[in-house]
Amino acid sequence: MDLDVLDSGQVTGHMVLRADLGVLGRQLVVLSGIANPGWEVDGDEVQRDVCRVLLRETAEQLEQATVHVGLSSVANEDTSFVFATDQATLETGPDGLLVLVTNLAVQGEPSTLQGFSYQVVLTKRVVTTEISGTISWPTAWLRPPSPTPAGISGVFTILANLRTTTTGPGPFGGEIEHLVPVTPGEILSVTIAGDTCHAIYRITEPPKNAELRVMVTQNGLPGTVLMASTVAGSDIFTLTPVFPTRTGVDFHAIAPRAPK
Amino acid sequence: MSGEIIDGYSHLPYPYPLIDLQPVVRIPVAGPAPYNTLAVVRTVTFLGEISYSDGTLRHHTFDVATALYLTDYRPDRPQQQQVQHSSTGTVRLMDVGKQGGGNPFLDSNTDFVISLDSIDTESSIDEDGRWSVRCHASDSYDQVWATAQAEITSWVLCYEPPDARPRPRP
Repeated sequence: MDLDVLDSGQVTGHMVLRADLGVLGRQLVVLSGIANPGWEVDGDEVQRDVCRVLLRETAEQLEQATVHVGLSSVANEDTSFVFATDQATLETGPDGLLVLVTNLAVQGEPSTLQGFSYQVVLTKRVVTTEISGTISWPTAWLRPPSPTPAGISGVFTILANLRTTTTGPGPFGGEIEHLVPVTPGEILSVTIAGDTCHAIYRITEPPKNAELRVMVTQNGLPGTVLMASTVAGSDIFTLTPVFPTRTGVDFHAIAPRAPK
Repeated sequence: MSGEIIDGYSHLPYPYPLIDLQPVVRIPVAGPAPYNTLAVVRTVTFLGEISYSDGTLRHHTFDVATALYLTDYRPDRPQQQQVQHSSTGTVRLMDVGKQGGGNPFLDSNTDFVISLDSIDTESSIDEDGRWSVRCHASDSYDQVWATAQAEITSWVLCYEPPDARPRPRP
């Protein structure tokens, strides 16, 4: 029992709504409609079958999903009956498209389960550019109360900055760096080890085709501690359409003077 | 339809609640333009009239007025003249005949067809900013008093001025 939202005889009123949640490229997608298996049975035993609805929605970048189904069209002739949408799940087909899988049950002499309604609500993260890396610090300087992003809330500020340089005055003026904050980052996960803690961060959708410098500042470790790029110079780069992501932009805590 | 609903209500085996108003949930969103609000709206509607039927298959097209009133709606504000929605509907009550003995899901003496056929993509906003969705339904019963209800669940992208507050529901 396979149905396709592109066939109006199989699915009526298929509607897709996409809302930009404004948070790190997240999009909320709602797919609704009425699927019409037109399943007629004639018997006093409950019969069960599975209906697969091809939603024509890619599973790429899927984060979360929830499914609702229910009866929308039923018919029976003068007998006891059963109509049921027992269970519904979302699967990914071999072509990468989402498929709504619904277990149906019908009984009657005869009965027809003509249609059932569905509504799939999901979130996606549409990423065009992304920077990620790890922030490390000695556990002795800060042991988070829990190994979660909330455990270090407010401790680290992660920013991608637009970077430009000018030449200083005089024959030995050197290079002057100018930074303009453009895209904040977020902590994804935290690990508390014996000596060292690690936090994985992500910066979503920083600009392309412009030189960037990633900076991490802290407000929770001892006051003199600085966050430095683990590999000198790896925090400065340019993302392009060909190379839209950069991983391994790591930082660690250093103390110019031993913290007291 | 409302007069027939009230007249037929006393003939039905199950005295179900006539009104179930659910609040509207509003979620701020960043787009797509011009929309800045995502509303979640649940609406209960009859699928046809409560009536004593003659066995014919009847088709109904009707606009379902929802609890969503666009905040600070103005007919001359272009952003508020359209919405986008994704809606579906589920049969949530069927009430067929005296023979049911008060059990709305027990039917051993009659034929029935209960169907919410489709919901239109196009919808409407009245002069008060109230959003309505158009439904198509069918039903058939044989020599009984009967009715059915559906619950329409809609996700609606709309524009509401950022500083305005939702008006109290009438």
